[in-house]
Amino acid sequence: MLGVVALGGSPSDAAAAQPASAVAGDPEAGAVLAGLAGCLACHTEEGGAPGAGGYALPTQWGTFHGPNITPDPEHGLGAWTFEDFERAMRHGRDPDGRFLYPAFPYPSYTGISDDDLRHLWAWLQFLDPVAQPDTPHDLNPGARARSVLGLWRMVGFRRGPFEPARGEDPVLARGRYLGEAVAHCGGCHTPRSGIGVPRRGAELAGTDAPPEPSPDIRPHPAGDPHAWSHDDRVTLLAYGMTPEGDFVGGEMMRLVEEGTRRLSDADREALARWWHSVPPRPASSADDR
Amino acid sequence: MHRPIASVLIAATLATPAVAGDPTPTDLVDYRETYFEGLSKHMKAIGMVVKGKVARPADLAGHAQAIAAVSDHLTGLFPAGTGPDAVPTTEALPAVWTDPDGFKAKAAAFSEKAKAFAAIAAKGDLEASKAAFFAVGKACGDCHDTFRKDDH
Repeated sequence: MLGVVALGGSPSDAAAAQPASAVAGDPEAGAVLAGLAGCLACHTEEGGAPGAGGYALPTQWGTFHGPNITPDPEHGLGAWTFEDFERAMRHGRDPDGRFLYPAFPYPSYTGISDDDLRHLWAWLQFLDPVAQPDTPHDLNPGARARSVLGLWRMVGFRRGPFEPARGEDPVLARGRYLGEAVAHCGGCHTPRSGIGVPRRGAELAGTDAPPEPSPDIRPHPAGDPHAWSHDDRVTLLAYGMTPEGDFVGGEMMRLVEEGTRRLSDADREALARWWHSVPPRPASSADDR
Repeated sequence: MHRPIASVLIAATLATPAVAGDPTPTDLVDYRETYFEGLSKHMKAIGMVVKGKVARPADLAGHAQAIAAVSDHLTGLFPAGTGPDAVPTTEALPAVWTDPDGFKAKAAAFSEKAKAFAAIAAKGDLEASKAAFFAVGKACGDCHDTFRKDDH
């Protein structure tokens, strides 16, 4: 109803065009979400300023360089509006409407709720602006034309936001939201087809793809002596510790430190529940984990 | 003309006869792996306490102290000749020996975090101990990431 009123209004009515339920962005909540979503992992180069870009991500499309997402008006997102940010995250398009490459995991982020997008946007404003120009991507010839992305989207993209499945347990749905839309665990752990679409039926089955090999983290079949308990999963997410008393490293430890460790207990429990719910690995798997 | 004889004499003096036989590379790797298993068992026990699975918060200080006490042994457990060439079962990567400075830096970080954890755990502050414990685990994972084989 407010939207209808704003239709004929002056620009000063724009704020009223927001749904009445829109929350104010909370940068603290946004920081936890950003940690879980791994924003800085791909938008910061080794030793670089947080969010200033430059990080190289080799893929089958070529090498992408994470762009500058700091509020710098020239090189970062300083000139973007919230609507620009929403268009990128939910629709995979830049402010000019051009398709973004799915190396930016918008096929997952599209599921992020309106409220959480506002929190993330609020958090982004707190990054120090850095006047660092983007490093151009170094793409394979076949991937340079963005028109190919229109085709890709037909198989690789379904627009969000996330909706619980009919009759889905609310805790599982919350965990699935966190695991699929925000953390996009499959971004590293799910093998992809030749054109970079996550392979059906292989969710979280592990890959050797860069930036580093990601293990098969599917649950073991019931009764398998290596099967992890719910508590084992929660501990991994809270401390990065495995049931053997060993610890994860690299990108996963970063995710634990900046993301899963900072979740509320309820959210961590939900994420662990969803993790346990993905189709198990085959019983014959020789993998000892 | 005296020199060769002198050399033989000196060599004979220096070569102290090993009472129980010199440790083989396999012995050294076995000892090293036992050391790390000990650390991981202490870490696992600490994890059970900080998660509240076992209500024994007073035990934390002892576990932390144990880890801190042996934390300086680590770099000494990788003498030359105990890499994968000599003992194929070792999970240590050649980088331990090809990048000794990098390895020592990671080991030093572990020892520093372990000692800080022991000091905090001794004060009995559970919340601060949880954070210090996590810092130790992070140092473990950080070193394994570069210097140990992936076991998956």
